[in-house]
Amino acid sequence: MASYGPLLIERHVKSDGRMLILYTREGPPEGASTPLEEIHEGETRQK
Amino acid sequence: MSEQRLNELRGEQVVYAIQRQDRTFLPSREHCPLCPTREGGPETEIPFPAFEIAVFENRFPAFEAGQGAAEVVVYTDRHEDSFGTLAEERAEALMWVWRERYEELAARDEVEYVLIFENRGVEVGVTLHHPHGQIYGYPFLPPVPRLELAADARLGGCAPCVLLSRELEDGRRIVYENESVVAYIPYAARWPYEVHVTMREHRPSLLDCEAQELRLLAGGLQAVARGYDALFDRPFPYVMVVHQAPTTSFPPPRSVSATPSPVERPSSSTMQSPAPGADDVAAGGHLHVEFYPPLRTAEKLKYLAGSEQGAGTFISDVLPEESAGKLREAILRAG
Repeated sequence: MASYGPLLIERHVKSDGRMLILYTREGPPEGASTPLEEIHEGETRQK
Repeated sequence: MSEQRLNELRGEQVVYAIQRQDRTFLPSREHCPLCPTREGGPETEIPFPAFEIAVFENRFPAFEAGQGAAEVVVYTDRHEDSFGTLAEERAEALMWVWRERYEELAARDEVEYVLIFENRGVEVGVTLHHPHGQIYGYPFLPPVPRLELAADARLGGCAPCVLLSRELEDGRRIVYENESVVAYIPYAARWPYEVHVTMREHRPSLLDCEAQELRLLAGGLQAVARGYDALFDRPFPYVMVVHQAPTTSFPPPRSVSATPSPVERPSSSTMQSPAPGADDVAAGGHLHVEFYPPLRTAEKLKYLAGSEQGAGTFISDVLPEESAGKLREAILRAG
């Protein structure tokens, strides 16, 4: 797995030989503007 | 296999990709090829149960590998989303995906121009509703970027820098702005609600942007897309195109790192200095994103008819200042 800026990149080859790339964003879950620890002190929230 | 022919009368290339005639056309929701592959369901283009952003080579390419590039960029695994409704973080991530693809395709010898775009709505020929865009790597410099380079020469510097400066001075056609981008309906817009989202600083391509600029570019593009939907209270069809520097004589790609390097070559500020001179635009281009929406009212389309197709002259029913006022209000309403 490679990284590019805030992204993690996973490269695959499809069964017919075509390229497929999956990008995952590093960092807090989408919609969380501040770190979860700061939102819920001592509390765990699953998104 | 695609075939390229020169239309001598127009002086432009025409690409024949006859394999595209059989491409998937408006499949039902259950047969969407861009959705993730669900357990027990048919395998889609993305053989995983979930994903964030996916890019793959088009099964029905306009340009085959080795002759150019044709890729599909799937924004989300949620079929009902749209570019405007993506979470802010996802839209920002998409800017990085565009950047990464531009960098990789630019490094290919056969690619002279990278075009990142999204067609939205059946009105502009969409064949799949799942939120996605496309990327073409052209083995030649197409007419539009060629005209943009000619505009640089005509204006004696970077044309988007000059035009942005004029729009900021006038102000009547600006519909949105933040620290990094300005969105406006151009003085001589061809479409009633055409919008250009232009980087304030002279950035030839996504590779020249700071991380903060990419975040604010995403914010500007989403503000426009949401404003469009609010304008007539309906999903607003558009073609969205990223305009960047040609890759014909592109420098070697920069190394990919966790903290990408910002601008390495000198940049010029539109706001504080005159437009960059010819030397600065030798690499060509100024990153901006153009929206071409075909609607002129909630129900009526602007067609490219006799004058537009036969003479190349757009006849518009709406003054840009008037449509800018309406769109600006819609963007504020959409929030």
